[in-house]
Amino acid sequence: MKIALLLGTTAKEARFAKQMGLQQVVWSAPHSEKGYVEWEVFQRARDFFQSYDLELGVIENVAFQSYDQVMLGLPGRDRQIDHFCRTVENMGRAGIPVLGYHWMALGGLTTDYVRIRGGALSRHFDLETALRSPAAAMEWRGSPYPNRPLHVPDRPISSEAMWENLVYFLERVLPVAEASNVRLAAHPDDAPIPEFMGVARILSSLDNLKRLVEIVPSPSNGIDFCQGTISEMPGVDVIEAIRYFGQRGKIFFAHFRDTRGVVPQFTEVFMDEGDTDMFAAVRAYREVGFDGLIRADHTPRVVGDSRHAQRGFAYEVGYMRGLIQAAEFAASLGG
Amino acid sequence: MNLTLIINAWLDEDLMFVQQLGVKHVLAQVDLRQAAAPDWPRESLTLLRNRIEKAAFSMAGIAVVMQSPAVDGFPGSNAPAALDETAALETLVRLIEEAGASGIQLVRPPDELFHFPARQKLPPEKLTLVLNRLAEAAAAAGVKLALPTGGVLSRLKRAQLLAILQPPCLGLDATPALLLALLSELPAAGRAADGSQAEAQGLWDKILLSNLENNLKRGTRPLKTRVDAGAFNIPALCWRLKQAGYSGYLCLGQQPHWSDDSAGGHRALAFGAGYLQAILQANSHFPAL
Repeated sequence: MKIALLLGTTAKEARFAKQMGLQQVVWSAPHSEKGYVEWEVFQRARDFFQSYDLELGVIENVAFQSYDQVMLGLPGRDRQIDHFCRTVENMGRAGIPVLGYHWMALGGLTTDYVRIRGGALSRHFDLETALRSPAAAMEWRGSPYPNRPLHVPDRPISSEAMWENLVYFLERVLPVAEASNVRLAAHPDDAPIPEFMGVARILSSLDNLKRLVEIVPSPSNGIDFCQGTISEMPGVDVIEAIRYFGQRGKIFFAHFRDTRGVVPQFTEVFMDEGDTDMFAAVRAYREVGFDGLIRADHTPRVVGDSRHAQRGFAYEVGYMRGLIQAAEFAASLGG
Repeated sequence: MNLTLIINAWLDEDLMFVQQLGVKHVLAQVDLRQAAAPDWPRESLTLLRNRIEKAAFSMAGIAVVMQSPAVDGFPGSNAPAALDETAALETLVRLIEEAGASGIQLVRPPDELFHFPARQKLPPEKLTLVLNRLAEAAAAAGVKLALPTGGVLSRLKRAQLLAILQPPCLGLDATPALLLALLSELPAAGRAADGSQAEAQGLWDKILLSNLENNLKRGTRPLKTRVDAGAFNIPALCWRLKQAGYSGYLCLGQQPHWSDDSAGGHRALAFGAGYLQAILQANSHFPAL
């Protein structure tokens, strides 16, 4: 597995990654009024990172508004699917192999930022609070554009409808992805609750992630194993989940972070102090032969940190490097 | 083993930062030039120790540096632009006395004290004079000195080094190179030590700090690297330390400065701390010898 970071195309961020010995990066595609991302945009980003000897391995998310009608099953979905396919083709043409996407109609959910170890600030979710103030809980909107308007729903959407819309999308996009040598990696719903404001959140359980990778069989249909989100699911053994999806070759990309607690209440914490045995997780990724990108996901905000939280990410990447080297050493001992 | 960071404990932000990284043991950095300032308050180390303990850290001791890149918050102003070897030695002696008076039990002298003029090792007679002066001060103050082993001391034969370290107040800040060499020669548990094993055991017993830094060999002078990126296999070293029953301080050595980082090198410190946290957590899972 290769440690990566989600970066913008700035010299400072590229230098930061290089100084930590990273070789791979993840990038979010910008929104285009055309509705799809042009090949030149991908190629320029790829060239920029290559100039720092960094490989662009994953596009994490295209703008939500480029496929929101697909997700909601609205009349404009076919045109959006055509655009999505064009984006995928352009990715393939630029040689970028993995596209991470999500299926959260309301985006990510969070309710609070709380003080954790040493007073660092970190994300917290409490379902009771979210139900009391639902609009406020939609802090993330599954988009790199925080200024776009909230989509508080005006109608319920059942899980059957969401599955139908997802299958409709996958059946049309996956053949294009296969032909373009691009793999689609679905992110589980964060927070992993089955429904919010009447809108179903279907990728919110391990069973549903299993269903996702089977419902439209394709070598391009897999998951972004967001270990943090999966650790938030009640009753889930994260290590066994790595083995399940990894042994089937369905982990195309991974996020690495940890939490304390599960739904209905959890707090993101530093990687070294959560509920998951992170060393066991790294050993599990090795065991299943995962050789994709694994990126440091969110980081608690530490004192004096930059806008891009580089002190926090330096700690997390150092921790990941330590675990990976330790796992390699343990393997050399036969352990 | 106790993960220990060298920090500027005069800054609240640095204490908060290290607490957020989950590190509990600190060596407080003291700048020798600042300490030589005419208005350096004599109670500084007592106040420093109070700050560290009030912030719920365990104070391993002080790490004296010749010239810190970041002196924000350090007491004393009008620090001299440079110190000659006599002034450096006498300032360090005074710091040792102040440490003893403050109840601080460990002082790590700066590497440069043994390299006057710069980058030239002290001739043996001068080295002896310096060490005698320091040992005298440390013994009187009830302080132990963790002598850096990466420079001139590394070129001494073991018997010479053991002779120098005879005073109980003198010990070692061991580099990975020394640690690995000693670990490979320690006698097996319960067995009597012969010749070279006895020397290895003698030096092992003198280790007060383990300084985890890394480097790559480049000609005659090693190139300092990030702790994860050099020639030494740190997970292997930590495993062997654990097997040998080492329970002392494991200090993150000086890291190369990153561009765009703060003067205090916070990003590099965070990376190194995260790396060593991971190694120590994983250590408990490694099979025993």
